[in-house]
Amino acid sequence: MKRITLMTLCSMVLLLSVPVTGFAQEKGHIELKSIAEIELETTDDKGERVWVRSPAEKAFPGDEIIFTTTYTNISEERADNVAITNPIPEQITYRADSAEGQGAVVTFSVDGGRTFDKPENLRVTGEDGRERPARPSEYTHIRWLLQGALPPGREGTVSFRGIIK
Amino acid sequence: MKLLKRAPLRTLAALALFALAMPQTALAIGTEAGTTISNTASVSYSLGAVSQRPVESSPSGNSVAGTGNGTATTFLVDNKVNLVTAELVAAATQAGPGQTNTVFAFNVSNTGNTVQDYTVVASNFAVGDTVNLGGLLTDDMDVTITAVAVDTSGDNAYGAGDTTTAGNSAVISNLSPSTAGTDSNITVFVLATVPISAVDGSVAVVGLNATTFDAGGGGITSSNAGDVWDTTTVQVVFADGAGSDDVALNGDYSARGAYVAAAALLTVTKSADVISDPFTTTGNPKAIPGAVIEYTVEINNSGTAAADSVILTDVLPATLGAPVTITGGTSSAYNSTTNTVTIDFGTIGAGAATATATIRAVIQ
Repeated sequence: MKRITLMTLCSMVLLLSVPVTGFAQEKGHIELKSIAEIELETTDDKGERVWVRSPAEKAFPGDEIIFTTTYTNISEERADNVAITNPIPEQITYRADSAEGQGAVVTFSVDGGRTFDKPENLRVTGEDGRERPARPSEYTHIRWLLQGALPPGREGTVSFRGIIK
Repeated sequence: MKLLKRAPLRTLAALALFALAMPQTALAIGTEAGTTISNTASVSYSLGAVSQRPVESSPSGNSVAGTGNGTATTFLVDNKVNLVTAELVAAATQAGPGQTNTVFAFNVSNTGNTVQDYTVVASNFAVGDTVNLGGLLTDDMDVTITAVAVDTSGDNAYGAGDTTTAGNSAVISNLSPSTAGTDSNITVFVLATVPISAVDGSVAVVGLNATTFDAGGGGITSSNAGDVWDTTTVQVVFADGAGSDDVALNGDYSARGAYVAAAALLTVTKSADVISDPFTTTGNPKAIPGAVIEYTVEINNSGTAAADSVILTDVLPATLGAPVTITGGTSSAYNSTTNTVTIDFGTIGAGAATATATIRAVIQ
């Protein structure tokens, strides 16, 4: 009996020691990097007011956070129909018109990411039970659909801003 | 660090949309310090017409395909320490000379985003110090602060259900932040004794200063401005304004209040007149033996408080006999041994109320 217990223990250790970089680690063709930053207003050497983007402030309710996602085609192949989706964190209110991405068509979801559309087409059911246009604060997801293919080695960024609730 | 100019808002329409988009309710509930905000983006794509497995983001860059292989980009919401101390009602407390446990109420609000403790310290201000409570009041007397009470019963009125601490300070424990959407302010009562020597209208300016502590009573210090944002720890920033007697951004907030003595101010006037003498039947009687003298006593209260149990004592001269008549007051008495008249006036109201009595006696 003792031996079996030992065997079991051994196999458990074996299981645990399977590296996380196992069979599930199939490398994709695109690398995705996401950062969160805050903008600080400051004055440059010419005395002009500029915005310095850095993680050098504290984050409080009411502060604006910039979420930036960098995508890079790290493969030797051309990627088509590249769509980057970002769920808006629940403690963040999306700031209207802040989603940016060069060469990308931006659409939003108000139903938890099931469907996406342009702001003017988004509708929600209000408290009175009637449909009305959705407010940017009600967006749940943002999607950037890149126009055209992403050639090998090409890198780009998409971003949006939100306010901490 | 990237330097960039903030992009101007594109159109007025966009501005209007933003204004409409700000929901009124979103600002009432805030995110508490220590909350982790996580964000993961994902990318879908195809090679030719063949759809590929999506790739999730990570803070340093991830390219491993498949759901769950990304790492959320996270940061912690920091602790914004903010508070306000103010008088509960912008009016001085009226109190009689010698009155004990007379209450001035302040209110302390946690306007930050973390549950905090506060130590509140009451103080008596010096002669010449001022406070504006619906009008400028200048300190010209001192009260003795005997206790500070926290309104644990929550009724904004001092009572037995409140937590009273003798001395001039008390602790507010676990005051919720305004961001929690719950009761984020509490009333603090300063209990004081007005000096018996206080004259009507005397002013004592008092103050209350609240200092922020960690919930549980630990001291709290603000992170230096030079500290970089650490996404993995809750950093502290003092965001409070300047109160009546403290500077901004120090975790303190102070306010002033006042006690005004409401005393009775009695003026006693006594006059004498000859009513009759035995020999002058018409015209002006003179003060000869056998003449009747009338004393008129007027008591005027020009103070702001009513005077209770007012008793006039008048020792008549030995050359006068026992009083013939006594009028005025609610009751009166004469002691022939001491030749003393006592008249009980009861209460004389505030604001120039007058009570009058007359005593008639015969010159021996």
